[in-house]
Amino acid sequence: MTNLSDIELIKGCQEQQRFYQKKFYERFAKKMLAVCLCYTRDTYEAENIVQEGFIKIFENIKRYQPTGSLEGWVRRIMVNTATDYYRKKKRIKFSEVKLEDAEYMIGAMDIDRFATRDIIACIQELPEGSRMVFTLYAIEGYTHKEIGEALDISVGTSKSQLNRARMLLQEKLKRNEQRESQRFL
Amino acid sequence: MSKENLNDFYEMNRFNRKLRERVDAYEPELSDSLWDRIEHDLNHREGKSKRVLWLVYVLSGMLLLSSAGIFYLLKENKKLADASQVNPTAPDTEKPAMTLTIPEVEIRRDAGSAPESTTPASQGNPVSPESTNADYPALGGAPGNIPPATPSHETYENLIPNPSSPQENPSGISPEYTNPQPRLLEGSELLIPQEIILTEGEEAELPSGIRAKKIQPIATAGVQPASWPLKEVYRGRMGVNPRVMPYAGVSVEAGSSRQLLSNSDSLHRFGFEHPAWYSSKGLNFGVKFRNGFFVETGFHSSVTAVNNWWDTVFFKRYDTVPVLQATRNIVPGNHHNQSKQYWLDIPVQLGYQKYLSSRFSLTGRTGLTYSMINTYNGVEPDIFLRRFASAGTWNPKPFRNFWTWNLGAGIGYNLTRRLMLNLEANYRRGLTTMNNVNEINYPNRKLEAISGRLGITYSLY
Repeated sequence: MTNLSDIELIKGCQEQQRFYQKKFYERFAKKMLAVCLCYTRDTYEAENIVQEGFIKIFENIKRYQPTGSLEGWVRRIMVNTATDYYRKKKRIKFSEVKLEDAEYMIGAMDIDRFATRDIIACIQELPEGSRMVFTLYAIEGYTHKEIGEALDISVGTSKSQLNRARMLLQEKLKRNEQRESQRFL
Repeated sequence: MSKENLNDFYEMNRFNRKLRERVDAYEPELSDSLWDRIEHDLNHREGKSKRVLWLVYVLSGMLLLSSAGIFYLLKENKKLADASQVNPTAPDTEKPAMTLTIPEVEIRRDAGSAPESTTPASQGNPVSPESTNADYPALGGAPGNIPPATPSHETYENLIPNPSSPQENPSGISPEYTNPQPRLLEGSELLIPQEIILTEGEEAELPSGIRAKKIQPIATAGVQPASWPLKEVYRGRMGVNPRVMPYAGVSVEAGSSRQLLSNSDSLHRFGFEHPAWYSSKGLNFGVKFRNGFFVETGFHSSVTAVNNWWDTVFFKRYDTVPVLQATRNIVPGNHHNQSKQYWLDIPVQLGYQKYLSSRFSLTGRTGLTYSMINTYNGVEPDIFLRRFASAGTWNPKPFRNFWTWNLGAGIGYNLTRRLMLNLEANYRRGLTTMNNVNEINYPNRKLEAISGRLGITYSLY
């Protein structure tokens, strides 16, 4: 019973059997929490989104069409839940950013030097709007047009927020790196 | 794109890809309670959907039953209307003659036994052969023509002839036209010419030879002045005094409520708590019967909410939660002000309406109400009464569906023949407990409420 196939899981969840729902949760919860952490300020908010996302999944799993991967479907629901959460409940504030200020070299940074937990912590420290745009663009691979539609903002705002996020993230990662190096001195 | 920009682009893509891989591979520790929260949410939603499904079944059943009932009752009315068409030349209902209700009618077809007849035989019987016999077996029960006969108004018991004896049947009417039980007209109604004006209780003989007595109509009593707008109140849509009268209406109710606690800890409660205002509003559907009784149901939305410590049920001040002194220190001024309970009520009421005059009536009612789909907003002290938290924190579902019975009395006033205002005082008390679990902080509770009820009904017939 430990290695249930996707089909078995889906069938059990469609029949609203708690056992299969729990197995489904155990299979995807950690990964989805990692995804949601990038959209939220802290673990508490991320867990709220995961909770809401799983409820949506269990309520809509009857409509699941096995055309793509199950994990991709689950992830898409989590991302939609996260964007909805902020769009409806939190009212994201997008600070004005001048594009010429966005001098960044983050792409040149060696990400391997940082622990994933630290990277996510730095992302969580970003302002709400920038964090959402950055995560959707960098992690989910959304285009600016798709981000605009998801967050109800213009393409220009999406681009400027992304630049701002990169700049801030670079600073935070550098600061983090310096702090870590000082610890070992 | 310059070479520098192109390098940036590739570096960014590389950065994004690596970041994605790192996030995908990351598996943070989950909170132990996360699945419990999800499971609780699922249980709640599934329970809710089951309740909604159950409600749909109940409502569909009620709708079906009431539709069938109303259909049957309207059919009965139609029968009465058809039966009352004894005179094909009856006045137009737009300019109607008086409508009379005939509680008892005695008919006899043999003219020879009609010594007190006041109707000349030459007038004949205006009853149309086509419109009577088939639908009106009281006149003989046999289809076909009714021969003109001098009708009698004497009691049936005195005058019933022996149809087999030609001496006792000098008119030669076939015995088959002599109905041994000619009382089928009881409770029906006839249209009579305008010149015959009767007061309450007065008797007269119609041109058709049927003797009639005016009785109290369904919605009026007493002598009515000529200009009285309700003079046709009991005519109904088809010119008959209907046996039943479906109606619809709205009502609002407001008053005070409290919760009776059957097993409360005396240290914490005084046998009841939550003096609160109570309000209920909704739609009513019912049927009035000619004898004054009515049956009513509907859908009401009710709220009880705590906003003070003043128990208006018995006009005494109770500090309903003695430990309030402690909790007051935690949340100063908050008390239970925000605690609200919402219910969807389905009442089933039996009532009686007695007309005192043409417009005024006394009403009384009693019945049961099923309250369900409740929500509870507010704060509750924790079990140690040390702090307040949102309702549901310690007890996720403190309340459940419950039954109450009620007793009410008041007055009614007819604005028009169809429209009636109704003002009543109502007492309501729980039959079953409203709490879902029985703990020290959630002892068994039953609702008790006293309220005023303002209703308006519109007769559909």
